[in-house]
Amino acid sequence: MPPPSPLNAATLAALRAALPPLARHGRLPLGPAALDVALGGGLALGALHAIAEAELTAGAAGVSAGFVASILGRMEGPVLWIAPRADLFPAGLIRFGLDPARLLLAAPADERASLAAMEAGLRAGVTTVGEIGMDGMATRGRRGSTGHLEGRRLAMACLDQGATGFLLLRRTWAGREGAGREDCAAAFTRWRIAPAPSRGQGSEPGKPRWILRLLAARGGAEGEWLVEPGGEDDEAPALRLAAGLGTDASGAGARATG
Amino acid sequence: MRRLVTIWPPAPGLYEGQPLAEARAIMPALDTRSADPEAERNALADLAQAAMRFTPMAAADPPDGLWLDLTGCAALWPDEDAMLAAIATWLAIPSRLALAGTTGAAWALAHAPDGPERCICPPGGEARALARLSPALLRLSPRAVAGLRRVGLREVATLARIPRAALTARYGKDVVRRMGHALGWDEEAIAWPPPAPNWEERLDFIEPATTATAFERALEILAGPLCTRLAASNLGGLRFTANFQRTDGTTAVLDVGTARPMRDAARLVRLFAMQLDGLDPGLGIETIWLNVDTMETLTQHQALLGHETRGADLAALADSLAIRLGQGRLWRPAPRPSHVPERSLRQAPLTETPSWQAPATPRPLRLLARPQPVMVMAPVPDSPPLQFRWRDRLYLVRAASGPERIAAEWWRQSAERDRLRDYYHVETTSGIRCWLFRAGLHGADRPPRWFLHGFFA
Repeated sequence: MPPPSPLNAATLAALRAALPPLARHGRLPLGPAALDVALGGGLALGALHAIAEAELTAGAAGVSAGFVASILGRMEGPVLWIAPRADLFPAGLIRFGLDPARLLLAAPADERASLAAMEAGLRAGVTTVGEIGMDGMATRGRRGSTGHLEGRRLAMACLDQGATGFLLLRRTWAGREGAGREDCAAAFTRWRIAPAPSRGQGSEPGKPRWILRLLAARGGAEGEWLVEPGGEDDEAPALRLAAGLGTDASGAGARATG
Repeated sequence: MRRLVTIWPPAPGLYEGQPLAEARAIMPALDTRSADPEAERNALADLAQAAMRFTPMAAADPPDGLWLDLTGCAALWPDEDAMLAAIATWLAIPSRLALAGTTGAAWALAHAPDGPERCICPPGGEARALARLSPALLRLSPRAVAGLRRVGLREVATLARIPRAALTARYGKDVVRRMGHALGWDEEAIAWPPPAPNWEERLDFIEPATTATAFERALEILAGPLCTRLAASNLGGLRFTANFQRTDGTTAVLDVGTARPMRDAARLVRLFAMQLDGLDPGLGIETIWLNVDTMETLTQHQALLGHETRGADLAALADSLAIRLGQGRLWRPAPRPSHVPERSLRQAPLTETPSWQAPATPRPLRLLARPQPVMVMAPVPDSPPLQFRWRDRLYLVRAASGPERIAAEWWRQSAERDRLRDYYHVETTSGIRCWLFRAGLHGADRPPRWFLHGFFA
C-alpha cells in the first residue's frame, strides 16, 4: 500500500485547472435540459460517440439513423456516412433536418475497410458516421482486443482533428443477439436507442418517439429519456422531451446521478 | 424477360437470345453479367483508339468488330502473317482476324462460320475466297438475304454471275453496293476517328528498377511535365494511369481517380505512392508511362480556390478513400425522377452537388435492398394490415396510414400485378415504424402479396 497522498483541496483544484477541458472543441446542446446536464453541458464536439441499437429485432435501424440525423442537422459542413449495408435512404433524412446533399456515402467491402475509412474521414476533419455490425466490433476481452484498439484510434482521431464521429453499432436484421458487443469503451458518450410507440392517439402513426439511454458520458451522468426528434427546422433543438406520457421513461431524468 | 446476349466460352445447349431462366436450368452455375451496350460501345471505341499503335487508321465496327486499314503497314513486320499474329497477341482476347484487299472481303472472312482464326486473302483473290460463302456475309439486309435464299442464291459465286442491273432492279441498290465493297469495284467509306490527343509521359530506365523509391522518383519526373501540359491547356485530369512495363514484357497498371479535375503534380505522386506497395516489379521495371485518361476543364482560378478552402480537404479525402475502397464504393446520393423507391436514388459522382426536395409523404430512413415478403392479415380491399409476420415473429399493428399508391413507369415491362404497389406507413405495438406494401389488387386472378420495404425512425 502506498502512503496516503499529501494532496490537499487547493493542490487538487490547481491540478484540475491545469488539465485541458474535457470537451476541447465545444459542445452542442441537444435541447432537453436534463439531457444536456447529464452530458455535462451538451454533446461534446470533436469527440467519438457510440450509439447502439437496442435489442429489438427490427426497426431500431431507422431509429439510430434518425437520432444521428437530428444531431447532424444542427451541425455544419459535409458528412461522410459509411454504410456498408448501403440501406440508407437519404430522402428520409430531410425531415430530421439533414440535407442529403451534404452526404458522402461510402460502402466499404468489409469491416476493416469501414473502420479505416472512418478514421481517414475523421483525420481529414470531416464529420463522420460509421456503421459497424455489432457482431463485428467485438470486445474480445475488454483490453487489448481489436475492438478496443480500433475504438481508441477513432477517439484519438476525433480529438486531434476536432472532428465529431458517430459509431453506429447495428444489429443484424435476423435479430441475432451480439451479447456484450454493443459498446465501444473508448467513446466519449455511449448510447442505446430503441423505438417507442408514438403519441398519436388516432389510427395514424404520430411523430416518432425514442427511448434514449445514456449509458456513460465523460464528465457526465447516465440516464434514460423518452424523446422526440426536433424536426426539419434547424433552429429547433435536436431533441425534445416527450412530455405527458408514462412515468418511468419520461421521469427518468431524475435517475441521473450528478 | 432477360435473355443471353453473348456466351463465352460456348457451351452445349446455350445459344444467344435464349431466355436466362432456360439457360440457368441447363447450367445452374452460369455466371452472368447484365449487358451494357453503351459501355460496350465506348470500350470498343477505346480499343479502336488503342489499335492505332498498328495503323493511324483504326475504327470501331459495332457491335464487336474493329477496322484496321493496314495498307503499307506490313512493311514493319517480316510478313503479313507475323503482323496478324502480333495484333492477336496484343488483343489478348479470343479474336478472328482477316486481311483482304477490300473491306467487304475482310469482314466476310472474319465473320464466316467455322473460318480459321487468322485468314489472309491474297491480293486479287477476293472473288475466289468469297465464292462459297453465304451472301449474308456481304452485310446485306436480312430481307435481301431472305429474298436471295428464296430464289436459291445461297453463294456469293452464283450471285456474282447475275448482271448487276438485274440485281439492282430486283433487290435494290444495296446488294450491288455491298458486292462492290467485297469484290472491289466500289470502295467503302469508313469514318476513321481522329486519334485522341496524346496525354502521356514516358520514362525508360537504363537499368531495370525494382524499388518503390525509384518508382516514386520516376513518377515525380513524369508528373511534372504532364501537369504543366494540362495547365497550358486549362485542363485537369479526373483519371490517371501509370503503366509499369516489366523486363519480361508484361505490364502492371495503377490508376488514380480524383473527385475533381486536378493537375497538382505532388498530390498526384502521393496518390500513386499509396499504391506502390502493392506493385509487383517482377525482375525489374524498364519503362514507366503516365497517362491522363479522363479530363475536364480546370481554370487557374479554380485551382487556386481549391487550395485555400476547406473543400480541398474534402476533395483530398474523397480521392484517397476512392482509391482505398475501390471502384464504385464512394458516391454522393442524388435524387432520380422516379416514384418507385428503389429507383428514386442515384449514385452521383463526387463532383456533383445534388439538390434534394423534401418528400410530400414520409419516407423511411432505411430501405431494404430487396423487399422482404411478409405474411399479413388485412381486411379487403384497401385497409392497412392488422398484423404481420416477418422472420418468424408476429407484429401487431397499432397505427397505420396509407395507402400511397405507387405505380411503376408504364414503359417498363413487368406483370400488371407487380406494377401497382400500395404503401402503408405502419407502427407496431412495440413502436417499430416500417413501410409495408401490397403488390397487386384484391379480386385480380392472383391474390396480392405483401412486402416489407423499409424502416422509419
